[in-house]
Parts: sequence; structure tokens; C-alpha cells
Amino acid sequence: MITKRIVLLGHKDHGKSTLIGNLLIATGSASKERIEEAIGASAVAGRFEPAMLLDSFEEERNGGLTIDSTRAQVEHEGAILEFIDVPGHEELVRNMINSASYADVALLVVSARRGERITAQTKRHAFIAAMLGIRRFIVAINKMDTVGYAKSSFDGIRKELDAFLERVSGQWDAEFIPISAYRSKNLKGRAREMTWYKGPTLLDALAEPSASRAGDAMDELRIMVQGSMQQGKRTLLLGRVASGSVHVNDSVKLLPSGNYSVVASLFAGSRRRKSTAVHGNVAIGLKDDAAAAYEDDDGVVIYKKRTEVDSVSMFRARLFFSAELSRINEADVAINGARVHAKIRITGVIDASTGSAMHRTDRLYLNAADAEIALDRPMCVEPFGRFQELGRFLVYTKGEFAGFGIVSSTS
Amino acid sequence: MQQDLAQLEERSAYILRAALSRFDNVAALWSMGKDSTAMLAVARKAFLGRVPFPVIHIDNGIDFPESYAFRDEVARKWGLKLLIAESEIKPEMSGFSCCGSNKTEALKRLMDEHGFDALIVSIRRDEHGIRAKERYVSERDRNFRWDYKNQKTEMWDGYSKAKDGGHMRIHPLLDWNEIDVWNYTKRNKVPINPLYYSSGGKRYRSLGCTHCTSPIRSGAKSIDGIIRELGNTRTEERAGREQDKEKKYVMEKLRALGYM
Repeated sequence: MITKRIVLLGHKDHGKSTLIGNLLIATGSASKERIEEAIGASAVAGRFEPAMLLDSFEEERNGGLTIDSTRAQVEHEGAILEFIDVPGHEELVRNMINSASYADVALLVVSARRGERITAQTKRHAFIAAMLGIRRFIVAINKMDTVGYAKSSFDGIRKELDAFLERVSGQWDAEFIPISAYRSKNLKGRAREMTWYKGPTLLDALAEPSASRAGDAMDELRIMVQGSMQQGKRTLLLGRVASGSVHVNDSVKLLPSGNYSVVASLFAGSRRRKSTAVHGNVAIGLKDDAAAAYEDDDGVVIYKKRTEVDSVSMFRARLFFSAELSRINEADVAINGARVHAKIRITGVIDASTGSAMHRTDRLYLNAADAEIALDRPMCVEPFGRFQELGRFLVYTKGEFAGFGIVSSTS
Repeated sequence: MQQDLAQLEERSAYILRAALSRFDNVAALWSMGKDSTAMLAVARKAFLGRVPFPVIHIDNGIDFPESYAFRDEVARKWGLKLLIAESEIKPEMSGFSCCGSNKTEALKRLMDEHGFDALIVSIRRDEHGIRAKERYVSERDRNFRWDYKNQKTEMWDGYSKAKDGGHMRIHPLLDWNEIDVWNYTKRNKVPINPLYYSSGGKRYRSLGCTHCTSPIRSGAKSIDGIIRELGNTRTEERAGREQDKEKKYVMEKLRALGYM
């Protein structure tokens, strides 16, 4: 079965860990020992806390918060749903984006309880997920039991979030589901308390086949080279076919160098092949052992000879900052495994909790910014909308992770 | 839960290749158990039939005789570069002190001697709540400590290097489940330590050393038998491992101290 990765997003205490905990129980996915252990750990709280199935650190359990992400799987309708629980705290956004970068679907949890509802952090998480290219959003409006399962509470939150997602994401589809994670309402079975709701239960909605992420609807060749190895006297490039297919004797172009060559040999799963049938790991030998010249290069990508793509050193991008910065003029950016120094010129700052432009440009922390990036040397960079893997990068300042970027244009 | 083996293998091979390219001096831990042996089988596919890094057996002298025989046979067959980290077991040692300091110290000495900056460890998320918190590439400091409250970001597989004197742990099998390892072992005819098969009505489901591991009741004499058995069990894999049961948070503490 294919594993679908679902990242849980939302404000702290809106019930992300509790939701996964009860999904594990509802689907019979937690072992007897794990449940017994969680019951033991719940003693502090005075009532059984399903979140204890996820929060395993001593500090998490005693503090009632999630510090770092964890994953748990359930099986439903022929799909494996892998839930990635992330911290909801503002200062832990770093851990949240780390995990969200691996997800196919975003499950946004919003509490309907009076005084909780949609917060700046709820919107910020949705903003980040949209920026990362996640198109499929499931919005679980939680704690419906605290508002008497009232349709009006659900509708109000739905309307506001719908408008927000519309504003911050170009392409998305969302399903809004009223639930009570703690009381297991509308998770697997339908809740009798909410007969006004006619849509799918949470698990059914999650198991539905969903749209692919933005920017993977192309079939031109891209082989992301990871390194090299010696085979006898020849050098083979090790890489992954991320798009398209390749045959022995194909003429290819290697970027960022821009050199041309011909595929002399091809291996997949340690067997010699004539062509690649599917995307995946390969090893490639080039004519006249030309691969040897790339042994020490980072960030090499193999294209078909006739590609129109070229390496670039200037591009526009939207950045998100998870480090406490007030301004940035330079950074190291990591694209496709290569790190390059770059000059950065911020052209505008966007409040990630509203999606609107900010007048002040010194509030980068936990916000986004549009910028012009000038790399010290040309690299393989493509617009995110065309090819995700080369349209995204990580930003490091003083050697520490500071945020990420999405390439908007390269011309 | 049985996942897609092709998807898992691709991912693991990708991580192994990334590690070999990103780090200067890589080694792997090999316990002769099913997980680290499956990892070596993936490496053989990723690197065209050979394992391009040395494998380390932390040997406290009290592993099962079957494990030593299995080690030597597979090492010869696959042409492995085998390194032994010898640790000495003392009679008063058990659980925490044995797995915690004793094995870790032996490994530390060996890693210092060879200057390894990355260590491949075949842990899986489904083994333990704490392991579900791990990253694909996870930093350990000079003293092998895991600063789990302050883990490095590895967004989109952007792996960082360890700070001075530390090393990175590489976890290529993190996404796999116990059942996936068995399905993979079967499909790829990966050699398997005979202790996993039932003998006298018992078999080992998880392998540590002779002092801390106990067998489970089982009649499974083949991989198919094991796969069938796992389909019907609700007991945790590591139920036969002493260290997990002793005390709350013991795994968290062991891992923070460098345990594998």
C-alpha cells in the first residue's frame, strides 16, 4: 500500500495530538502496550489523554505540549495514512516546517471552543503549507462538543478560513469537517449529534485520492545527481530520475556546467538497463568517461540535450523566516544538495498570519518576504510552479537554518 | 501495516546515497539482526552490488553463537569490511548500564580511532514512541548525546553536518515497519539470522545480546510463518527487550546518552 503523508497543523491546544491519538484507537492501530503505557502516563492529567500516544518525551507529557514532530500510521480504505504531528507553538515553527516539507496533505485543526477559534498561528500554519506547495487541505473544526455541536459555529469558522486560503494559495482544494477529537465524533463513524453535516467523515476524506502537489505535472527529464562512485576504471554518477525518462545513447545536457554528453551506461537497482521505466534511483556512465569531471560537483542535474532550461544566478523568490531576523542582506542557500552564498534584496514583507503586505520591513521572523536573490555562481534553479525540487531552497545565516524559499521566477 | 516496498527501498537508497555524498567518512552499525541486514541489502542495490562503507559490530562477547556464525558468513559472502568494537561485560551490568555506557563507550573508541563523521543506524519509527521522534539524519555531540529538544532542520532532505567533534546518525530505514522488513527480506532473499526462526516452540522477534533478550512463544519456522504471525499479533516487537520495560522514559534516556 502506498503511504500518504498528512501533516497536522494548527494552534497549540487545539487538539492535534489528541486527534491522532483517538484516530489510532478508532482504527485499532495502537498496540495494547502502547495504550496501557499512555494510560499510565495520563495519570498526571487525571483523565485519559489520547495525546499521550504521540507525545513520548517526559517533558512533553508533563508539560502537555508537543515539542517535536512524531509520526503514526493508520490504515483506512486501502490506504496507509501517516500522520505527522507537529508542535503548535510559535517558537517551534522550525520543527513544524521541517515535517510539513514531507507531507502530501495538510490537516488543519481549528478549535470551535469560544475564545480559541481561528488564531494568528492557525493562519500562519495554513500560509506556510500553501507556500510549501500543499494543495489538499482538510480542515477539522474540532471541539464541536464545547459549542453544543452547533452548525453556526462551524459555518463561521469555515467562511473565514475559506476566504483566507483563497487569498494565500493559488491552487487548493479544501474539505471542512466538524469533529470532536476527544469524543471521537466524525472521525470514523458519523456523529449523531451533527446530522446537519452531510460530508465525509474525517478518515474517509483523508483516504480519498487527492490532487498532486503543485509543479509535478511535467515529464521532461530531470536527473538529480547525488554523487558518484567508481566501477572498475569508470566513474558513474549516482542520481534519481525525478521526472521524464532516459535511454542509453541519449544526448544529455548537464547543468550548471552546461556541458553536453551522451549516456553510455545505465543502472537501476544494481542491474544494467537500456532505459528507465519509472522514476527512481539510477547510476549513469557517460561517453568517454566524462562523468569523472563531475565527481566533486554539487547540485548537478541532467537534462535532455534540447532542453530550454539553463543555469541561473539571479532569480525572484518568496522567503519564509523561522529565525529571529530583522533584516537580511546575504545568506547561504541550499538547492538540490548544493550550498551557495547569495546576496538578498528584500522587496516586500508579507504578514504570514494575514497574508497582507506589511508597511514595516523589519519583522521578518515568522513572516514571508519577496526578494531578489543573486547567487555567487550559477545553479540549476527553476520556478517552483514548473518543477518543485529545483524551485525550493533552504536559507542559512551564520551556518544556522533561518528559513526556506520558493522560486517565483528565473527571468 | 504493510507499505509499498518499492517506495521504501527507493527512499532508503536515496538516503544512503545522500549520506555517502554529504559526509566524509561513513560507517554503519550491523547487529546481524533483520533490520541492519536488510539495510545492507538496500545498500548493495544502491551501490551496484557492493556495500561501500565499513560495518561495525559492537561486540560485548555475549552475543548468541548463531549471530557470530551468521556475521562471518554474510561478511564473507558480501565482501563486507567488518570492524569490531569490543566492549567488555562485567557481571554487575544489566539493561541501562550495559546498553547505555558499556556499548556506547566501545563504539565511541572505535569511531574516534577511525574518525567517522556519520553512522548509519537501522532504527525504525514503529519500534518505539521515542524513535518516532527521530530525524533521517540526526546529530549526536562529542559525548554521543542527542539534544532531542533542539533537533536540526532537515527540510526537503537538506542535511546538516555535525558540529565539532560530534557525528550524524543516518536512519535510512526510519519509514519502515517491522512487517516491511520481513516482506523485503523475503522478496529479496536477504540472509536471515536463524534465531528469528522457531526452535523448541520459541523464537526471537527482536535481537539484543544474550543477557537482555528473551524469546517469544512461536511456531514460525519460515519467513512466511513470521509474516503470518505478525499479522495476528497486537504485542509490541520489543516486548522481549529488557531495557524498554525497566522504567518509564528509559528509552528516552538511553537515546539521549547515545544508545542506538
